[in-house]
Amino acid sequence: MMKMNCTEFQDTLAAYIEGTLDAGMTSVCRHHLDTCTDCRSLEESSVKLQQRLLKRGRLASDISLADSVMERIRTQEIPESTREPERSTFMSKLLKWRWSLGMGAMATAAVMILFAIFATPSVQVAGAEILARGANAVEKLFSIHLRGKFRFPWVGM
Amino acid sequence: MEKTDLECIQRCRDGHGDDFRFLVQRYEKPLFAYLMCRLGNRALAQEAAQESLVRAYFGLPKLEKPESFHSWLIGIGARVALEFRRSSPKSAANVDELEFQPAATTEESQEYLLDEAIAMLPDSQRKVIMLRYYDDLSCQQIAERLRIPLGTVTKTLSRAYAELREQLPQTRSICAEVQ
Repeated sequence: MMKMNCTEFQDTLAAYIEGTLDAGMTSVCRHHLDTCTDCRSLEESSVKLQQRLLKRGRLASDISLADSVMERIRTQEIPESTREPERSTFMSKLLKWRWSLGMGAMATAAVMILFAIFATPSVQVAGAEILARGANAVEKLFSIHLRGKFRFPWVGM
Repeated sequence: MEKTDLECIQRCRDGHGDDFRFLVQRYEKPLFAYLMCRLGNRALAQEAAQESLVRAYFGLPKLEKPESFHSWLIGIGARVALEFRRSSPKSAANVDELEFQPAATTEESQEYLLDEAIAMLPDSQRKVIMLRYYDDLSCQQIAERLRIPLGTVTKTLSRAYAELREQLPQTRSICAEVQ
């Protein structure tokens, strides 16, 4: 008899449950189920799932809402009830004031940074050093620029 | 040839509101079954399904992912069910009036999770599940309707079962998110 592995069985499971397999394949599936407890448990849970789905389908079998829904849509302008009510939650308030909160946070951060720079002596020293280096660098660049101007006066004309 | 959800939604957005009828016909049953499980009363579930579909129609311009129409609709249904429960708690809570009795076991009392899991399935699997169980077609009829081989239908169904088996114990209620 032809053998089947678990992956093959799992792909064939619905066909087996639905009874769309031919006799040969059905007996191959049965043989696999006799020898594999995992697949047997899968088959049992799938049958249960199928029963639940069938029950679900029966529950709604006679429902037809298209006419009434389309009629309501046609006759109704956007009614009050379809509008999402404005619920004042913490998150909605947060969302509403997001720009103000963001700007406020940035301003606070800027104040704190400035405070740290001007109030802390060690940071002041470091800041002064950085400014001095910057000034030196600008001076050097300027002198290089001037030397270039004297050497090559046509550049930049 | 049947119009896809995307085509219907696009047509509705372009002002052809009548095309919403196709979407109603496609999703009224799963939506009703879901609301029936949530509300337990047939008349209330029918009213809630209508309300959800009308809201869905007017909410179409806001729908960001048209390919997720089904799960979006179930989400609207969850909100409507919650509102219905709040506005008429007696009709939903009085067990004597319930036509669809909530089952005793946890698994069955959370039966609506099955609909939420179906709504989250990949498109091809969801389509086959809906045709099989809500339109009550056999696998052979589904194959003819979709013009695909019977083997593809059963294989897709097998994969949908596997996906549902995997999803169901972990399905987080859409309604829980709404709450």
